[in-house]
Amino acid sequence: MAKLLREPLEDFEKLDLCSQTASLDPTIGARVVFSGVVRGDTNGATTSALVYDAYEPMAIRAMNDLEAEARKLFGIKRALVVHRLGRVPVGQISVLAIVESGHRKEGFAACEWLMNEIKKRVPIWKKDIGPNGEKWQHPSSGSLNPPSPESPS
Amino acid sequence: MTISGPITGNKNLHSREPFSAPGRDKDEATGPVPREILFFAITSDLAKARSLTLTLDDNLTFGQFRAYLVSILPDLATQLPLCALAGDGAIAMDSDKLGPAQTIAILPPVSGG
Repeated sequence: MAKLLREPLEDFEKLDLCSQTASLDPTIGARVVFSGVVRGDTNGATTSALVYDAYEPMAIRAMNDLEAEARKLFGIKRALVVHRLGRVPVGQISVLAIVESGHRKEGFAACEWLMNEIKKRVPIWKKDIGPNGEKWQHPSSGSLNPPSPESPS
Repeated sequence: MTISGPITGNKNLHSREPFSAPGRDKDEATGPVPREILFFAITSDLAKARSLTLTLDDNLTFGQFRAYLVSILPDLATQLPLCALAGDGAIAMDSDKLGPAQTIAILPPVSGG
């Protein structure tokens, strides 16, 4: 399951998360929760907030596809990914990944894999807001990059 | 901001003549179609718009569309080669034709998380 929200994720227990269903599935023995938090200092560069933009329908579909892949790859029971949109101040949660699995080993592995893939495959972008201005963060490579642009005709 | 209407797939932004694939036999045409072009992140800043409407031929390739977009929005020239294109939410190769896609998204390298 995947969600994009403009509200703070700090009260994630109030979201429709795994907590209610875990007790219904006796094979679940681990719940791994990862919260990505907006960092205020990256190698000496100051950030006051991040602003997230997304191609929402495609991002939701991509995150749901990742969950399906994670189930196959790691044998987890289910996963939930929630990403903030809009302005997120330093210290607030920008992304939340929750994985439920039979044992912790596959849960930790799947959670890390999910986060790595989100950063490569989900059409979400962030703009760094700091004392020296604003700048979109765009890596030089990623799976959404065109394979090999042909010469214009 | 959404720009629509007067901008068509033609280098003259005020022309209503649609943009067709170069060298195309007009007898084969199924007709140019209005498409919504979506911009995100840095491309939205550079285009100074979240979207615009272009009337584009369905035989146009995404690569030809990419070149055409730079011709009408030169500020995108540096960034657009780094971007992926998606037709109706599906990533497209530059050799793919626009076909029936009603929405074309310009997707800079992603940076979520």
